[in-house]
This record gives sequence, structure tokens and C-alpha cells, in this order.
Amino acid sequence: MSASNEFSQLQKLLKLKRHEQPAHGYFIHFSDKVMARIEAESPVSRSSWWQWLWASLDTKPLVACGYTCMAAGLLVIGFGVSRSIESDEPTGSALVRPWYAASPTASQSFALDHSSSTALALDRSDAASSVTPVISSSAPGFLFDVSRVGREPGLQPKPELTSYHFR
Amino acid sequence: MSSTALDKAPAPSPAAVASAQSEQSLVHRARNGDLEAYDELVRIYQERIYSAVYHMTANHDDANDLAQDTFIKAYQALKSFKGDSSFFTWVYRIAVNKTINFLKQRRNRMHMSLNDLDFNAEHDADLVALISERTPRREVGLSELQEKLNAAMLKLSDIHRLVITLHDVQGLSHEEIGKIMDCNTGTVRSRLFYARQQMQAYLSDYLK
Repeated sequence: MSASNEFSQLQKLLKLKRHEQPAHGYFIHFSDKVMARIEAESPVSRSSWWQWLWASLDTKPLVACGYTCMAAGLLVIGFGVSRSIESDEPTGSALVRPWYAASPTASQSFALDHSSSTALALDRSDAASSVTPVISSSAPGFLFDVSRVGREPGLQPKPELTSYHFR
Repeated sequence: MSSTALDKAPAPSPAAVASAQSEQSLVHRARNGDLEAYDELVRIYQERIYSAVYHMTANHDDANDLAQDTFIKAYQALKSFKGDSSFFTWVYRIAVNKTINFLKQRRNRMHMSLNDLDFNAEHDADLVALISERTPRREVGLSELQEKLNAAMLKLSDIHRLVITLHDVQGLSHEEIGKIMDCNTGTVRSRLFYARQQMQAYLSDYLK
């Protein structure tokens, strides 16, 4: 008797196992549960948003390519718009604009401190020009004016450490 | 998996479910983190994996947990999948290992929680012929037979129950079982023969 005949009755009986089925609809939601658990346990879900974005773009090259093209297009458009704005402006007008060079007032011109060691001599006739830079020695000169140290209160030099004590 | 599909194709190959190329493509995408591709792989193999685990444990809740754990473990280990075997074989191996480890832990607390028989069981000619002489009420006979059958399977060792499940219940070939169990076909055949002998002895009252 061959093995197939010997066990034919058993094999017929074992067919009964194929009829054991889980509740109807069980497999419809099975993969959803698996995927939910995978997403919950995935380190990507715990990482920051930019890591998540990078991971999602990494797996979708077409989407990443689309975003790149869109960004490049916006850059090109922006560059073109800025060029067209520049070409519309009249040449040589930059220097007469007030925010490029401010003309000093009369009080500022005469406020130059000639007694300071860092004072720069300026021709008063030039001070009225908007092209010539206005240099005043009053405020910024104080920062480097060592001659005033010691003459004014609060600017006393600290005594230097002349001896060292080691314990 | 519907019983109709099982009856028509008791030994479906993975290629029947999804072509090798599409499976490779899905696996490749899933390895790169594409969850939609992995979801598709889960849908392709969920019934087979669940069924294998269920027939090993004879418990629906355990089978549910183990089948889910199998797919999660497979996803986490997907980077290490070299493609030496098919994805189908690889996932089956994970399921089998998980199930056997689980069964070792619960050795002393076997508890059957059987799924219901579907409607087609009552119309299966072979089953009807088996029970008609013994039980005048067919429905009761099937339920009783189901319990006896599962109890007999639980008496087998894990390895022998596995080989019976994969071959006689799920219809896998000796070669496929050899790949899953990591042994040659000769070993599969000898294990199958021994397991059938054991089952025949346990169920002698129902097979005369």
C-alpha cells in the first residue's frame, strides 16, 4: 500500500482544518492593525518633523523631484523679477537718494572737536556736500581716547597686579 | 483565505498570489520605508501566515497576536532580507520560529480556542462521507470531529505538527517546506510520514 493510499482517509479528515475560519471580516482589518503597530513603533514617528519629511521624501523620489523643481522655478522667477525691477530704475539716481548719504546739519559740522588727539581736520566747505562723509570725533573718538583716562571720574585705571601669591 | 480558494488550489505557489517581479518590487519599496508597499505584502500573505500559526496553536487569539508580531518583525528585519529566498519563504520562517518559541513557553497551558467551521464544511463530500456512518446529525459530527482533530494535532511535537500543517492542511510542497524548516526534502518526507502515523493512531476511531 502506498503512502498516499495509507493516509488518504487522514488527508480527507485534515481537509476539515481548511474550513476553520476566523470571524467574517477579520482579514479586512488585519493589515490595518499591523500597519498601525508598525507606525507606532517606528522611530520615524518619534523623530522631529523635518526627519519625518526627509524620510517621506526619501521614499518618494517623484514627490521630492517635484518639490525641487517647484523650488527651483520659484527661485528663477524671483531672480527674473528682481532683474526687471533693477532695469526699470534710472541710472545715477542712487547717490541723490537720502538713505545712501545723509547731509550733515550745520550744527553737526561745527561740532567737530579740534582739541581731541584723534580729531580729523575737515574743510567746512566740504562738510556741506552729501558726497563727502561726515566724520565727527566727539562720540566715537572717546572710545579710543586714552588721554581722557584719568582726567574723568569713572575712568581710573585699575592697579596692576605686581606680586603673585601662591598657596 | 476563503475555503473555495483553498479547495480549488490546495498548493498555491507564491507566484500564484503575486508574480515574482511584483513581489520583488514591493519588497524593494518596503525596504526603502514605503509602508503602502508593505501593506500590500501583508495583504497578500496575511491569510496564509495566520492560518499556519492558527493550525499550530489551535487558538485564535494566539494566532492573531503571533501573526501580527510576525509581520512587524519582518518589517523591522527587512533591511537584513538578502533575497536569497522568496519573501514568502522568509516570512513563513519568521512565523514558524515565533510560533515554536511561543509554544515552548506555554507548554503546560494548552488551551484550544477554535474558529468556527465555515458553511462549505457541511457540503464537503469527503467530510460527509467520513462522518455519515458515525453520526446521524451531521452538524454535531463536524464539531466533534474538529475538536478531536485539533486535540490529536496538539499531541504531536511542534516539528511534526508543523510539517502536517504546511503539507496536508496548507498544501505546500516538500521543497517549500524544506526551505521554511531549513532542512532537505528527505527530512521533510520522513517527518511527514511519522506525523501521519501518529495522527492515524490518535484518530483511529474516526478513520476506520
